[in-house]
Amino acid sequence: MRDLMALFAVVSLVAMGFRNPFIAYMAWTWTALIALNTYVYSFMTSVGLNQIFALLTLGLVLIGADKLKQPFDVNRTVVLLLLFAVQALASATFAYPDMGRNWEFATDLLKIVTFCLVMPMLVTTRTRILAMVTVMALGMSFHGLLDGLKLIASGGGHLARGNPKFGDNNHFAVMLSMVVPVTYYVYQYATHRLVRLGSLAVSGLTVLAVVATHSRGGLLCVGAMAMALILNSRRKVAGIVAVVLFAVAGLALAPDSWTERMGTMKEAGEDGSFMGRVMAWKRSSAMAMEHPFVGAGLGAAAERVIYWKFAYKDGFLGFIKTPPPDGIALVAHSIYFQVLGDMGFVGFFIYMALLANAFLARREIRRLVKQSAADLSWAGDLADMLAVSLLAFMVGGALVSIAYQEFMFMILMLLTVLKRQVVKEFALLASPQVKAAGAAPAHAPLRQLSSL
Amino acid sequence: MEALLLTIWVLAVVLLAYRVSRYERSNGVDGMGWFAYKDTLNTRKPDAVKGKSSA
Repeated sequence: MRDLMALFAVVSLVAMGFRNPFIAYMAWTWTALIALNTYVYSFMTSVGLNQIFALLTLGLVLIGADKLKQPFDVNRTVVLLLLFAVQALASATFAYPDMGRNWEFATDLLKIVTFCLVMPMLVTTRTRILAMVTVMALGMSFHGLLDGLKLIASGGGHLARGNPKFGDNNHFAVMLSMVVPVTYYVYQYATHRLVRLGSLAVSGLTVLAVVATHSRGGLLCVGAMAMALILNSRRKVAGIVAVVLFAVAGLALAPDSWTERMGTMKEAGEDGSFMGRVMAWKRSSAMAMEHPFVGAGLGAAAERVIYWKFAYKDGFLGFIKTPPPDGIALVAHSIYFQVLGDMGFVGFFIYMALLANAFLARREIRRLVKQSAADLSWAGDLADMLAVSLLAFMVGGALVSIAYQEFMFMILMLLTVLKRQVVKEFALLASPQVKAAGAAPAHAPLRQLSSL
Repeated sequence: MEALLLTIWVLAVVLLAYRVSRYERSNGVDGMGWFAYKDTLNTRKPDAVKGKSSA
């Protein structure tokens, strides 16, 4: 039955996609995030849904089938993404021999960069930006919705192990935290009451799902996200009250095992799990010190041969005492050290520039929104929520290896696309025709000009 | 329960795609329906006309 439903969705979306490439692009986004194959049992499990929509979108873009398509625009984000892709290729080429997943990671990364490069060509109006926000919320939030409900149904006993697509429970917790600001934005700005209430419920359930992962990094993520949401909120006191009430409800639902596990964060220095992370960071920094320009190759931290090659090297973290290596944890345990080890210092600085660029874009959007005669708060608030989502990624990612997750790249690119839309609306408002028409903050005429 | 929720989510995406498609074909005359967004938090419905929001 599930397979038939998935088939119905694919056929419908393909049919609509042929008429409008943006629909195919939306489906590409959605299938990347919901991982539909992991929720079906029969003939649809092996169908490459993501590939279908990726090929359909690229084909339609190449033949110029979209009437609202914009030409390929070279901006700061595009340049950084291209540099990152070139660096990934260089790292994969000069990697240590026999690294099993080196080219697999490189190929996946190139697919993600391709996805991002197509976004400015197809996401060209306010309607499309908001449709992307909705589809991203519909993709990622489904996982949170399920695990949040299971936590409630089990009286707090459910342990969310994560979706195979996103990795283990720690990876899953960060990914879930990232979608909460997006669903919260849908709650704030959707006009339909049912959608608003549904989004609010999904936001709450997703936070509960993070609790269900028993991930300490996830808790840090949610804490950082809550603080950022309060700081961005116009009603800070109400925000603090809501967060406190939700925290109390969450603690009441959480089992004792969760409370005990979170309590171990206080003794990080003596915690074996935490010291294992420091050892992983040492290995990655040693890889970067030995290969500063290209790193050790993509996925190097997960290779046993590479592990033992760097197991006794401290990199630039020699000032931290760690126990002898045990050969167990074959991961980088941090997005920063993952990129550092995989792609060297050059890759690391490009990656950091990409993240910094997103926050810069958010600042530029905020400045334009403030200067605008019309109320562009939909864009300002969206920029804030996307930045909060990135912040959750950067905080949670400090402890897990999810540097190449596509959801983060989607958010980076959406911020760039949003900035372009705000610049467009700002320029329209400043144009003589709009000024002559008595540029009140009425949006209808502006919308006709800028949306379509 | 999981199957029911999955059905709702799948239908929501198909409906969203249909709405976007219809909105763009009609040059914004047909609204975005359930998937319409406000311009600002201060106004409840910026485009006032029922079901005819500019999304």
